[in-house]
Amino acid sequence: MRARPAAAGLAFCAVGCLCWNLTTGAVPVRLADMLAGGGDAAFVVRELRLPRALVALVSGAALALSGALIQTAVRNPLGDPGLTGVSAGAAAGVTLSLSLAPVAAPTPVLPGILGGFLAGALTLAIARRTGLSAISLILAGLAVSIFFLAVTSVVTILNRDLTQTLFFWQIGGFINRTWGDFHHLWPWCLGGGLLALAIAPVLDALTLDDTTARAVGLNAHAWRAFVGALAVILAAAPTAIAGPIAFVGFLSPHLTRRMIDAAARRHVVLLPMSALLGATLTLLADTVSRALPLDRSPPAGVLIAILGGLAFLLLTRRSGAVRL
Amino acid sequence: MTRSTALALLLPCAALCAALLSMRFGAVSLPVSSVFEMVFGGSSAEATLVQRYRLPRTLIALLAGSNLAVSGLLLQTALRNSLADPTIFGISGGAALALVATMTISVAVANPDARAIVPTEYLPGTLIAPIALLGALAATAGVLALAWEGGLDPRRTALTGVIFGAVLSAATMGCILTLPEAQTQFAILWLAGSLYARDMAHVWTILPWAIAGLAASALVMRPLGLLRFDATTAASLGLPVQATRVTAVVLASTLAASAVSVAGPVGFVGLLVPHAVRAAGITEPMAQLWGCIWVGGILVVLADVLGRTLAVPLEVPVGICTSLLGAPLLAALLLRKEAAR
Repeated sequence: MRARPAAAGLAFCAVGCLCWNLTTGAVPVRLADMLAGGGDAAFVVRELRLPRALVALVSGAALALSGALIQTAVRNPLGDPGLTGVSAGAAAGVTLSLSLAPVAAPTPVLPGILGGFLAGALTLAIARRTGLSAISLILAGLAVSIFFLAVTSVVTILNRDLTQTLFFWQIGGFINRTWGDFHHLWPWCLGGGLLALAIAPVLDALTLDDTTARAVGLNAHAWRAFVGALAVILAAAPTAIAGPIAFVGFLSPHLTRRMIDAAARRHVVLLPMSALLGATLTLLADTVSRALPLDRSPPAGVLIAILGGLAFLLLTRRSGAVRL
Repeated sequence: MTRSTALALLLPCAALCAALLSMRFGAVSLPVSSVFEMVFGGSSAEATLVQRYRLPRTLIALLAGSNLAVSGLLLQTALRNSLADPTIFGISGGAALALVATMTISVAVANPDARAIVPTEYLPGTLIAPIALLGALAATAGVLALAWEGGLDPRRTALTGVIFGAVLSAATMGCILTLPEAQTQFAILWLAGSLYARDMAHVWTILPWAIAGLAASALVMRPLGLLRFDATTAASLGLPVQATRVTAVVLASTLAASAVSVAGPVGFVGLLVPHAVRAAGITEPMAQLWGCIWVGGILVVLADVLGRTLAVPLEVPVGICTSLLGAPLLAALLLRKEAAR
């Protein structure tokens, strides 16, 4: 498909999902009432559903961008903040800072970024010595994830007051997220997203091998490190607010690439479309888990992990779209 | 006396020491000298404590550890994959999902008043292990079928297992979150791999499976040892290669399932122990099996002691302690394999 109609279609889907998300829930709200404003319906939407939907939307977009950046930075088709241990590291950072200084932390995002850097660097250090092959990166990410998740669990258990809260946050989801959460989240995501878009031509060059990149005048190593750092920030912010969520960062860029012509697959097109798709996916997951006929609806992270994991398995099969 | 005979005799003694340590430590510390007598008699409060709580807990740790370790050894030998482990291959995840799903259904249907601290108690005792076995076998078949491409590439199989396991554990979490809130907490604890509040009934759940499974492993291990050579050589030595492999994998799933059904999905014991045994220079298959049985038990017992004493009266589930050990080993294995290439 050409890039422009595909992008228009995605934007339409995203807006549709947002409307569906805002009108679904324990109190059904009619679209017309919502748009008209005023009354209880408007209050529910403005104070409860809109912040939650916006957190989901921005998180999905940031995770998709993060995945796309990782895939480019390490030239690995399986790049994803969840699968490379970055999310687990960020979760450990957030949990530790909440336990050590529950009041002092002005934002949970900063310790998340620190933890994400540490975990990402570890994964890279292990995977680099194994030649950065697609599968090695994920297995190294797994080892790092397990370690940081175990650390997170220990801290969570020892910190009795927060155990319940932290456990639910660690599943990943957008239930009960507030305007405050959204305000912690958006500056990082907007800043990171714009920066990524600004260096789109460099990203195109980085998809080539280092020799070619150098031939067009790039310090490939330094740029890859910078892109990786940007990916960590874009992953840590949503992790700090919505918990660790995997597979969105892997799936969104891949599905986007499949959607558009080879000629149009430049980062200036890929990045915004991946972000739109990521936002649509998380919004959809949040809406569907809320619409399930259950007494207690599960957080969106559960649905994302189930469907995302299955999609990962399908795409990476021998006959699948992603070559390993 | 050769080195391996010495090890063979030393290991049961070490397991006994670990078991005594496990029964000594806890919220109430007891002198080691009296623990031994308390196991076999006495009616003091402390003797009751040892007999009713610490003894079954220690026995389950020993049995679950042996089962998981031998499961890992069988998988690693049969598939010639040094990354093979019931956790990594999603086998434990399958057993856990089957148990949690049936448990969720039974809670929803029966709506019991009593709150079980160990969530599997919502199920009839005799059904626990068979349900876990069904789940484990289905997961094993699923992972191997998905990873198959005219053969099983070790890393691709591990990757497939990991992602499949993630899907299964998300589904398990989804089931748990539909439970009433009071039950969610205990179920999450169980899911981390825990030995909290186990009693003798749980020992009887795993014991027959452990005995039968370990005995069958002893029968399979000798022919399986031929698979150290490549499949063609093994076949020319008269080994029915595929049948042996399938038997070993089914056996491995059974052992892992029985461990999960009493202790929850305790991770990475099956990865850690066989590598530790090999690192100790034990190469003969039967000696490896013997080593895994004891070292697996010792590892889980000690990990449980650590989890219990780290922050009394709180408890860190044993599965988290084994994960903390397993992660660095996995990283080391990835690095070593590459260096050899």
